[in-house]
Amino acid sequence: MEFEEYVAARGRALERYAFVLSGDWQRSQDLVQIALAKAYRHWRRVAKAEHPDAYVRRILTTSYLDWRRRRSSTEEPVGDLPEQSADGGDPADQVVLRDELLRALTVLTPQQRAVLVLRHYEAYDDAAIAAVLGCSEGTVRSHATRGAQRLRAILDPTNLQEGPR
Amino acid sequence: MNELEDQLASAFERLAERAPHHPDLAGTARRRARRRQVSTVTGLAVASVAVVVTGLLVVPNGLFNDSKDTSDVAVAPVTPCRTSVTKTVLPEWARGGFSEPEPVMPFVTSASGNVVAILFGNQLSSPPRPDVANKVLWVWHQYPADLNIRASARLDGTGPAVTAGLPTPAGPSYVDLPSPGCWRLTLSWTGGSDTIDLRVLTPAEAARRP
Repeated sequence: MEFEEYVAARGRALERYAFVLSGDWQRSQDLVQIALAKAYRHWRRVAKAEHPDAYVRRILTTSYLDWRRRRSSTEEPVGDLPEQSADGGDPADQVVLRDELLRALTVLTPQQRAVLVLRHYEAYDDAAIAAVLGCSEGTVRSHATRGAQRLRAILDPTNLQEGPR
Repeated sequence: MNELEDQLASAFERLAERAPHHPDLAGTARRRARRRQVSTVTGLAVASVAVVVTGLLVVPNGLFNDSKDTSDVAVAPVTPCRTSVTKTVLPEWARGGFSEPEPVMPFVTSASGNVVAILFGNQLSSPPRPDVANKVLWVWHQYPADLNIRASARLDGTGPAVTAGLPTPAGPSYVDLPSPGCWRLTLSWTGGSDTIDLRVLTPAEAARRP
């Protein structure tokens, strides 16, 4: 398979994956290009691999984790969630709930987010996730459990401040 | 699958739908790969030259210091508080919680363009209308490193600062300002600030502008 054929077939999926992983427009494009540029430099070897896509996805994921590691020294995730509307049936509430979930994802560690994205967006099993992240399946399960616990704690309405009305 | 996992799968899918698309991904990646190779070689050459030059020259302290004394820089005049609610498609980066790919919502953009205040009730009113809350969703394109963001408001941009009743300007909140008029909200955090002008109407005016 030629490099261009691979990108034509898988490029959009990589863009989507990178965006779900990072939640950042510019960064997601950068991650895709970093992964593809690295793959291009070793394309003969990559194309001979049984799963070229797994190789590219692993580079992309590693680049994401590196970026988050570097960024963590200067930025902090959103901590406290703002007040939630107490009334039901408001169309704004669905938007707010989805927004809260997406923002809640930013408090996860990069590894927790990567595991949840690979599991619930890419539908990878634990073995495949472990291969992408270069860790054991036990570690994958641990990240998944802790990530889900953290999200539940944040999204639990009893943990949110009451709105003014 | 439990409820959280369902929500996650759904949220990820919606997020993916908004992923940016580069029309020439393969070409850009190829060029980037080549640039990297060239810059690596060039970088090595430049580093070698720099080592030699640094070894030969002693640069007087401050000779190339381009930092400027800013003490006499004039303060920019305060721009008048002026705002209008835009009801159009939200910027790409502000569509986080919306299920539609191109949601049309009433919103106001901050002076820097980095923050939008989405007005769920179309207009803000003071006092709040009994049936329509002053619900605002604050969306940041890029959060500052310091997330301790504070808001203060001045009527017409120049009146006494008001902070009571103002929410943290991030995420969903209610913005109930003390009187109708044009309010300039200053969003401050360590190392930076931004402003956003919000028009607050009387309940009757707000009701006439759905």
